[in-house]
Amino acid sequence: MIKISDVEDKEKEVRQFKTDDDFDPEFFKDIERKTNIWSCIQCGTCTASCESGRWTALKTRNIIRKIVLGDLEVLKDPDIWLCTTCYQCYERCPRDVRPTDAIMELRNYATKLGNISPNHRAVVGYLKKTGHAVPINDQIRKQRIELGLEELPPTLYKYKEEGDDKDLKKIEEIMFDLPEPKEKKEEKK
Amino acid sequence: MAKDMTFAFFLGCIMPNRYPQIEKATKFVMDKLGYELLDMERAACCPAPGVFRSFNKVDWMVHAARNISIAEKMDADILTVCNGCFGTLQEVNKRLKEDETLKIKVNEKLRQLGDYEFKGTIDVRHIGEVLGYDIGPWGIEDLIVRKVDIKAAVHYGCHFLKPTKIREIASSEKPTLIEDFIEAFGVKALPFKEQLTCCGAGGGVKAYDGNASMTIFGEKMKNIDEVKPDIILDICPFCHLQFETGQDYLNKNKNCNYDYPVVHLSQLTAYCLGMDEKSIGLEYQMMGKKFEFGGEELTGKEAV
Amino acid sequence: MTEKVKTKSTDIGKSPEEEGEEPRIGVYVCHCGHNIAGTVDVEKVAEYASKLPNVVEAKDYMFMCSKPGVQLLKDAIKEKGVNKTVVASCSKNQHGRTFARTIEEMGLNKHLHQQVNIREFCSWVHKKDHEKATEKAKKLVEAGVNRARKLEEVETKKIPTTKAALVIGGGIAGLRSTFDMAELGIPVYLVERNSTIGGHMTRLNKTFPTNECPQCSISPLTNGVANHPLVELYTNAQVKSVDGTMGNFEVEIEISPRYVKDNCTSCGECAAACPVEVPSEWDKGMSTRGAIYKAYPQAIPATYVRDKKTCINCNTCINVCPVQAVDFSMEPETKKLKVGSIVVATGYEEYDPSEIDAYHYGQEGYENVITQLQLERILGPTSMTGSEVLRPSDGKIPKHVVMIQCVGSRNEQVGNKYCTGVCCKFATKNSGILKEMYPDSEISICYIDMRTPGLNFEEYYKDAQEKGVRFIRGRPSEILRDPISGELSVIVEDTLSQTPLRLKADLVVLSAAMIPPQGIGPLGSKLQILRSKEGFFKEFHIKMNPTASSKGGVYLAGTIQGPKDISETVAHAGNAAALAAQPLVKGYIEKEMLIPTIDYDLCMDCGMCITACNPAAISMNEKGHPIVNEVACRSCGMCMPACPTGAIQLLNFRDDQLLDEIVPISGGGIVCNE
Repeated sequence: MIKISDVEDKEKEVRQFKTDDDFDPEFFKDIERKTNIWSCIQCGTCTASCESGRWTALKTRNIIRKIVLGDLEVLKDPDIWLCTTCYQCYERCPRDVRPTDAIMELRNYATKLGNISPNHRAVVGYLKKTGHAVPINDQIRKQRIELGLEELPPTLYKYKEEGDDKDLKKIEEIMFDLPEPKEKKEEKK
Repeated sequence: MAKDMTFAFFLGCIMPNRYPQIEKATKFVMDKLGYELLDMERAACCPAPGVFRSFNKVDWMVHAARNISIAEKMDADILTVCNGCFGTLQEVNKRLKEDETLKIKVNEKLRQLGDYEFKGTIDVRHIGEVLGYDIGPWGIEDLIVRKVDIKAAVHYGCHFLKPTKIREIASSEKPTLIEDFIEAFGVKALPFKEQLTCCGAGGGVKAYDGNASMTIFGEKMKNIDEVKPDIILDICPFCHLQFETGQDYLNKNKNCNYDYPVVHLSQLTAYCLGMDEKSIGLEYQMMGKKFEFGGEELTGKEAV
Repeated sequence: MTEKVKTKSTDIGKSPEEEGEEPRIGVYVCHCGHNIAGTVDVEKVAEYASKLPNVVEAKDYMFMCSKPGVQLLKDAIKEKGVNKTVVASCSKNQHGRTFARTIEEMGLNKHLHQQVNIREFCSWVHKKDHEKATEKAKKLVEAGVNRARKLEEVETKKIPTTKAALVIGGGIAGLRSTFDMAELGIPVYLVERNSTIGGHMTRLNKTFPTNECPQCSISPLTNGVANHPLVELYTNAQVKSVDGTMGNFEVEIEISPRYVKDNCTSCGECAAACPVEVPSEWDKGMSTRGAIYKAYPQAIPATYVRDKKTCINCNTCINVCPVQAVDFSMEPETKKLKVGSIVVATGYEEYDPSEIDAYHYGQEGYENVITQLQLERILGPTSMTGSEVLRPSDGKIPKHVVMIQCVGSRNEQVGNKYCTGVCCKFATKNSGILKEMYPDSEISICYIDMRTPGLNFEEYYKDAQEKGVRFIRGRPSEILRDPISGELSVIVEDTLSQTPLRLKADLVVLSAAMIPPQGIGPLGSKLQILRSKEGFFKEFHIKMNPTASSKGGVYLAGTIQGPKDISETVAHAGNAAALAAQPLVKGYIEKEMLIPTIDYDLCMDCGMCITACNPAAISMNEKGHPIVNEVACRSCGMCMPACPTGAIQLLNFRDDQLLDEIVPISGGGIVCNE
């Protein structure tokens, strides 16, 4: 059984075959709907349906294969972040694998290992600071008044501005804890 | 059972913080239809399914449950005008109602955020289904003040109808409820190639890799451009943002010349129900600033 | 009218009645070599048994099933007056019958033997703990002795059968069964719902793997059946009701009027003159027919038939018919048939792919999406297109044909979970034929797996590849339509090369699943047979008895039991015929009267036993009390737990008998204390 740290640091030797040591299916033993994922027959309906994959490097079928085999390289794979969650694969899969949900789970695992993009980190920051993934700006505040709406919508951000930020503080404390960013070489896509 | 003819209006992020004209239009429409819209005080990001569910599924559910519990306290169903918020709130609401163990786990963490508890007493609704089914083209007929004569490229987005097993609204392969509804206004929906594809923004892709998001979007714009509609009609502020910033990006980077006004269903409906064109707010948007809805005013009630 | 079979009585043995009621039990514990004795101390078990009440003799022996082994039983009966035997060895299925036959030879009723399994139930599963295994074996034997004590004689009855058979369904399965039984001298009534016999086989263009004409293959059989002196053929007919039980059924059939008399010469003048044009069901919409028509040229009977629903009553056909055969006044007829066996051969239906939204079958703009059966009708010799494959939308020859496999099969979203098992073969067949007809057209098959097992079929697949058929391993996600040009394309990933493809498709052929025929439920209810969860009729045992249904006397032939190809159907139908013929050729059925009795003092007439009875052997009599049909009863005992008062008790499996058996194992009560 290999540890995820081995996967990250291991130098790629030139080898002809992979062996059982290269896989760890137990790693995904708690993934939701595991038995349905295992029943994947690699028919390719998901990849054919994928509206991102037709133009990007995302190949849904391969991702699911890696989960079944326990190929932990998939957690470093940048392609898993190219899924737009359009759910077409989910709708059409004949084995009800629900690939969209599986990819989301992979992202959870990857996030725990620190494989989260800086842009995404920033979005978490916005939520913790303002309660919004997309915070308001001065131009829109003005626009709201011009339209006859309240300058700030009655969300957490308004209450923070008024000095009442106990909810936001709690959110910042206990929600969406991310591991520290690592010093990594820039990965070429 | 939640209060009748009342909704807790969930604002989300993009609508109040980028496109408040959609907020105004929605309030106008619901008022005309006789609904009371209650403010959800201390609501926050739904949280956006593409990003936050990707980071931590449980925290995503807890944060969503917090928003739902605010509406539960008001005993009102949630109304949202955004596919993303609908995707999060409707799914989390349904799951926690059906899975007792999960509900207990979520409530445990939720309690740490304050006096919040998920009880499972309300439903989450999207304006697309409220207008498309609850009201329907027959129900809106009497309230129409202006009929227009425009051609629209209708964009359903992804999370309104899918996953069909969870949403249970309409077929995801051949839906017609929006087209049927806007027909009452005189809007003709133009069929175009692959019209049910994703706008490319969701799943955290817009933030993660803007270029990839634009590649996907570019293909969709090509197909829309082929049929030359007057407007692009959407039911989601995130798709709305994508159509706006996307056309701008393609113009600047891919030698395109797009200027299609992007109109949310709330804006179109508000206009046809009598709201003034200035409040529709196209002048605040990036595309189609000069577009005029036009149309004819109806005098008195339409003979049945 | 039943004859009691006398158990062989000899002067040597004494029947229990003569002995008085007292049971004299002999117990024999088998070593079975090391199988049992290696774990269980068989001597101790025998010793334990010898001390139990009513046990006259208890021995252990190396191999009870051997000749000297069974001799022990014989000697005990002869010399010690043993009148009930217990053998503790292997399972009842394995050697229970051996010992039962042995005691029957000695004049005892064979139901007075109790088999105790201390091998599969004890020594084989507790190999590691000899002490506990021995204790368990003791308990099992004591339980067996307790059971034996109250065993009663069960008589075997001979019930005469009606020498005639009913076959429902005139496709290849029904025809085969009919012919095979008729050749055994059994009169057969063949009832077919359509206006002609032949079924799906006659609607195919060619059959795999030899690509021969199915009409030619089946013609000797259809004519053989139609002309057989022992066969009565009823077309346009359905079964209305079924009464009775195995060996003696009473069936009522209803024959819908053809509105054309038997003197019809099949000249076709009426159809030529008929002004009505509707899609032909026989051609699955790929051609039209009139309101008066013959399904296909070789239809049997050749008499034309009128479809009252689409007829506009212009009377042209009446006027035009040279022999005045058309008669609108004909009425439905009912007939009562008495038969001994029923063979159900009602076939299958092609799955309707409209359910799969992404393929848009049947929707406007998607006329060029058809099914394989429709393709067969287009290719067939009598097709409207002259056997050319023409696109339904514009009549042009397609340059790009894409076939999609597993439509409605292997699908958990819609359709069915099972694999039909025939579609890979017929897609290979049709794609090969198309490629030969139109070598310049691109013919592709999109599949998940190519399943072509059996002799000659791998070669058949290879042939298709060599002809140039393009095989793409990938399941198409959708059929796209360009709303402006109307062109179709199929989106699929070629998984073997990991390439997403958009295939141009002038014609898309869906390989749709085989599903049970529509409306088969009511027939199943009339026959009182079980269905599988997929809706087919359920066989008695998937391995050992695939042609018997859940009810005695009713047999299944062909695809009504599950998807299969023609070869398998013919074999299946032959076996159904053989089983159906057995009681009819023998003239009687022998049945052990292991049936329940009802204590009417306890019975509440609630009817729960009737609901629980699978072969529907219990019914209410005119007075509202349940009665048991001893011929239909299968001795399963399900009536007993269903009964709230314990009024119904299965002979030799009564509550008190079972309780006696449980007590030594549970340690005294009904609930196990361990």
